[in-house]
Amino acid sequence: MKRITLCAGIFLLLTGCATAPSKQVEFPKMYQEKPKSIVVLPPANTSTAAEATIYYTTTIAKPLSDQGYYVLPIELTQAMLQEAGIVDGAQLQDLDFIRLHQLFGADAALYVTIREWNKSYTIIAGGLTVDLAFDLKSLKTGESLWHYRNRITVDTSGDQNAGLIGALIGTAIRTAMTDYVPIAEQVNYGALQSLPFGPYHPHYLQDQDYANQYR
Amino acid sequence: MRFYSHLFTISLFVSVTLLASCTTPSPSGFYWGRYPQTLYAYKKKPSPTTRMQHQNELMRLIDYANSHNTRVPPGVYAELGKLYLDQGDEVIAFNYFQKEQQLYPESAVLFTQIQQPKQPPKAAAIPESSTTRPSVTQPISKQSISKQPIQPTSVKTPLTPPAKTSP
Repeated sequence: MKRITLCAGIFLLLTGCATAPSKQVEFPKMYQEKPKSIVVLPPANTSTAAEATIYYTTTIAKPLSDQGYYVLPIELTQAMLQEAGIVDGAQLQDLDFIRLHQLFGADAALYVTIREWNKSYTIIAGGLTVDLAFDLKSLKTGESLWHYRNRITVDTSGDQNAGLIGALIGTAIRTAMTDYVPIAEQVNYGALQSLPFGPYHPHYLQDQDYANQYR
Repeated sequence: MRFYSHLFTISLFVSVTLLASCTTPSPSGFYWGRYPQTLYAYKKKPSPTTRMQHQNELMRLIDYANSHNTRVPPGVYAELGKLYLDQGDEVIAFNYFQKEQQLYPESAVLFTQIQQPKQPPKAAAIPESSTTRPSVTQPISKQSISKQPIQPTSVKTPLTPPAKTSP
């Protein structure tokens, strides 16, 4: 029985690969413009969790650079924008791409809207539900080069064999004490999977035919 | 039985990959160590302790890159420089900014914004309209938006570019 399930799973995965469009088809402008440097803008946080902003900004540089891009020092770019009174992405609408390019000299800017950031726990499992919408905009043309939106739930609970009461208490404690930094990092890594590789990645400009399975 | 041995192999592979991701550089060649953790701790609760821990981690990343012949990750030199700038150590700060710029010429424009605050801007960095928006409430920043290039919050006095120190 288990083997059948496994086979079915593999079949689904394979068919999924066959129908998914390639990165070249999905994000052609990435390969035309070939952005090398990215400025990470403050997130527009429309969720109810104020702390989501800090989780995002402290965990985005690592996955973005691992994807092969030069990420402008977020601590500096953030301080500069803060000096101009911009702390939330919602205040960015008056800053057009030409100004951003003058300020930072980056090829592209990463916009993100945090639509949901919900810690939750049920009796047997703790979780974090995150809904993020990314948009990478060219600072040369102002056009969108890459975009991604997904709502995912990350399981943050560990041991589930402690019995019902034990699990209930355990989950509550874990939800309060869970280190959300690696979870936020994981969320950002997942979101950036469909972003074509940048110049610091060994497979730069070799992933045009990769199927985009993260839609 | 065979299924379980496969499962074991897979879980072993996954855990090895997970462990490896923490201790070795990524395919792009960057080693980030505990950077997100120490940065988060510092941002969440800024104190001399958390700042020192983050500063030490940044130093460690540079040491790692030098001893393993890898590239210092983007922004690490710059962020270290900003920590020194916040403490008033301008010479050390600009030394690190220079290192960031040497390693990543992509950052050149950014540092012209920070290193030449005395030069009158050719064009206002931020559109005039944003100064009249109700959400922008800080009078100091209004002035800096329209009259001067943007500077990091911590810079209180106009900075003169420091004398070049030999590397």
